[in-house]
Amino acid sequence: MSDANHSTPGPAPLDPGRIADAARSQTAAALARGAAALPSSSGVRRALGTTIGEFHGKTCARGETLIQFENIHKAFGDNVIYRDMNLDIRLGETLTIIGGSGEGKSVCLKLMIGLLRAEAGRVLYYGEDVGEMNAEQLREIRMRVSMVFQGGALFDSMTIVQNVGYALREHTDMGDEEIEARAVESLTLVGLGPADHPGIMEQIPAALSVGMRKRVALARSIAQRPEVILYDEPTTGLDPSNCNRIARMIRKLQRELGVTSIVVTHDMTTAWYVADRVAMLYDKSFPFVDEVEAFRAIDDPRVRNFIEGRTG
Amino acid sequence: MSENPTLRGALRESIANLGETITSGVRWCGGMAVMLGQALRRGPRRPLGLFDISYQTLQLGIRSIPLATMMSLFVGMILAWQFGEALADFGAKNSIGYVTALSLVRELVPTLLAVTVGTKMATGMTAELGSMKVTEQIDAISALGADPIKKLVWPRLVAASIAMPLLVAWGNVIAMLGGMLISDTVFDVPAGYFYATYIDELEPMHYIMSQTKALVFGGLAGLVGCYQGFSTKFGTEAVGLSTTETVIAVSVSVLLADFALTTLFMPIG
Ligand SMILES: Nc1ncnc2c1ncn2[C@@H]1O[C@H](COP(=O)(O)OP(=O)(O)O)[C@@H](O)[C@H]1O
Ligand SMILES: [Mg+2]
Repeated sequence: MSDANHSTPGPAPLDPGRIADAARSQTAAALARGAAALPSSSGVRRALGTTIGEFHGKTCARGETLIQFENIHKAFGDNVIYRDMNLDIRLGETLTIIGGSGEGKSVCLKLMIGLLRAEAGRVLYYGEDVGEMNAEQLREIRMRVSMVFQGGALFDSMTIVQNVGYALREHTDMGDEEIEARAVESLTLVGLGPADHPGIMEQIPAALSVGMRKRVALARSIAQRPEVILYDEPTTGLDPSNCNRIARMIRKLQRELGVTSIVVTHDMTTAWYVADRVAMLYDKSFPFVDEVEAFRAIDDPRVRNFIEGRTG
Repeated sequence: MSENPTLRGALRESIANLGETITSGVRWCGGMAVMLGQALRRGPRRPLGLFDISYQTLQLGIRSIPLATMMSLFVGMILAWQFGEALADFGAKNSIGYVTALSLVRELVPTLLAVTVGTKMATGMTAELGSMKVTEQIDAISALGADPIKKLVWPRLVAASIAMPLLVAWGNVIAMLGGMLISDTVFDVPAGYFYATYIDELEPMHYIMSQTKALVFGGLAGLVGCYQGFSTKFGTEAVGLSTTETVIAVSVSVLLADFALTTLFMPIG
């Protein structure tokens, strides 16, 4: 699936001009965000225009509403998934969405990046309606809001480095060497750097364990340095120690990259660990949304039954 | 008296079923037309994806050579034998080359290769794209800001439309050799004479017709294969289901297209 015309060699890695340039933009980004910027991540952000808190001249401060679902109605034929659904996502937070299987948690994530469209209502990103966007606008959104799919959805005909570098290859004019360097960076962030896992770059996804595949998928989603990461059941099907590892990683990425995270899960341990706020999907909308502590204190039997795992 | 309502009920039900079948058929054709439109609109934009196109063409073409060769050889031999028997009754067995040429080149080789090799290409695509669909890899391409139609459908469509005419050209040669073999060994019409009459009968228009059919059938097979893959529902059993449907869909649509093209070409040829 890769094109032949991407084989132009990258610029020499030790070009002093580039380094100075990178250093400058790094400090700028660090100042702007008031957080610890990750080395060289700003280069990608600049190349792809995925600056945090700023889009098309509009700005959004930490804690302000970034993505907003407004009276969403979504159905597949007779199968109604959402009815008059409303939900806000704030910049910089980690929102956990909990709810039973097949109730539409994945659909919610797909609405955010225009993979599915609602029949009524709006999904607003910086006040722009995702449902009304054309292909070019969607492409731009998808660089800023990236999704980690449930099974990883790694391209099984490609090597790990091709998988992780996919977005950069598609959307920047970086050469092979530079893309590889970025891929190493992203893999290192999820603890799969070639230093600890020699030879991983050239392997195919089928050769890796389930837990590693999930982490590679995560690396692929952060390679473009998104503003928002959507996680679809990141810990489902993993053993407890891998669950912990992924949960810690979600926290770490939020801290180090300053991303906003939306984590869909039905594993309550993960939910409590990663979340700033929790939203519970019930009866085709989100009637219960609150900060973790407040959410845990909710007395409604519908909530208690779900978080304590009682049936009926 | 009591029979009437049930009969009427059954009648109504079967009409409703018919209606449903027609609706889903129309929807299926509509979906394919939309996909074709998207592929033709977005495919030719830069970068053209020449690497993918040539990779797919080689994959589809080379892997199908054995099957194409066998099918063509046997259809050439069988047709020559059938015509030879009939002609011998009239004492006209010398015109065996004239008679077989047209039906082989214009009709049998393209159609037979389309329903065998074309089906094989299409089911391969459905299985591959269908499993990408159920594992959300197609969504992942979109989510990474790329275009699945451009990345997956366009190269396969072009590759099938290139590979099929090449295979039909090859098949035409093999089918003629098959006919020649039977004519020489069974009916004592010399191979050289068979060849001369065979070629004499064919005009440029007949080659064009053969190649046009191959192009259309190849494109159809690619389109059906990709569409079926993309419209695969959830679960891995779904891949098996849509692959099975592809077999029927390719055969039926190739025959319909064949009828249409024959109607179109007959006045000219
Ligand atoms: N593309 C689609 N076409 C038809 N139905 C769908 C589609 N995607 C999801 N659904 C249906 O929507 C419902 C919710 O699906 P999903 O969001 O995947 O649930 P979950 O909460 O487990 O993630 C399911 O009943 C599913 O069958
Ligand atoms: Mg899901």
